[in-house]
Amino acid sequence: MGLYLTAGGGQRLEGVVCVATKEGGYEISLRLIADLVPLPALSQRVQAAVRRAARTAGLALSSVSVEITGVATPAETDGAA
Amino acid sequence: MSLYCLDAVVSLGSARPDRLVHLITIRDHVGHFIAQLAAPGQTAGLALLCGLGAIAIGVAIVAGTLHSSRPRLAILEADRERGTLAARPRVLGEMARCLAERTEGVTRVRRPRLSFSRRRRRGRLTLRGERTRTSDPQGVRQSLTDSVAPISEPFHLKPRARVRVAQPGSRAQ
Repeated sequence: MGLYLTAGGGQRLEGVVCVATKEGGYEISLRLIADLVPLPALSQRVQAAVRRAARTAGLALSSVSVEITGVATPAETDGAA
Repeated sequence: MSLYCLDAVVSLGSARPDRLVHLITIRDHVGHFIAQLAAPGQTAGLALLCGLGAIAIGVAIVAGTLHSSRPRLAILEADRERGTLAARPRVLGEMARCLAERTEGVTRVRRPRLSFSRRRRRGRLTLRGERTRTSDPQGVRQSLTDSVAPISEPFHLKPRARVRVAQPGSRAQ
């Protein structure tokens, strides 16, 4: 993911960039490596999950962008599982 | 230019552009420097270097403007309020290849080619594959384009397939 990360609270979140907007909300950008799954449904589910988590945490989001940057090979998927 | 051409036929006198903007007076002030530039020497060398530097900076600015460093993306959905859903073309190509390789009668699928419109909202997905000798070429072409529908439809890509008979010894699906 290179330098595309957010550091805070003792954590480094690779593939996540969070930018505060002048309106008071946050813009979240995610770069994901996906399995061989339908990308539109995956992107929308991720977007909805981020919004839900932000709402639970009481954070205002202005936009959530999802960018699929790679495909996981079956070996990588098996290794992760 | 047209005024100078006119001056060659009918003398414009004090209405000539250089006289109107007092170029002769300006030449009195900068003439010494211009003479130094025209003559060989340090000033001319320095001016040459400055000129070449300005050209190099100009070329770099134009190249930087035309060639964006932002990664090229296939846009699925772009909304200022909601955000953008997008994928790298390489990802779409790999997924399309995986889907196409499952097509019956196809022995091999090369890496698909993707081309996009300027706004990256639609494009073309070209598949190149090899088929078994006994398969119907038209049917294989149709099956190939149908197989990548999960990728081509949401990203508004127009699929196109080219197939040729596989070399002897190729693996059949």
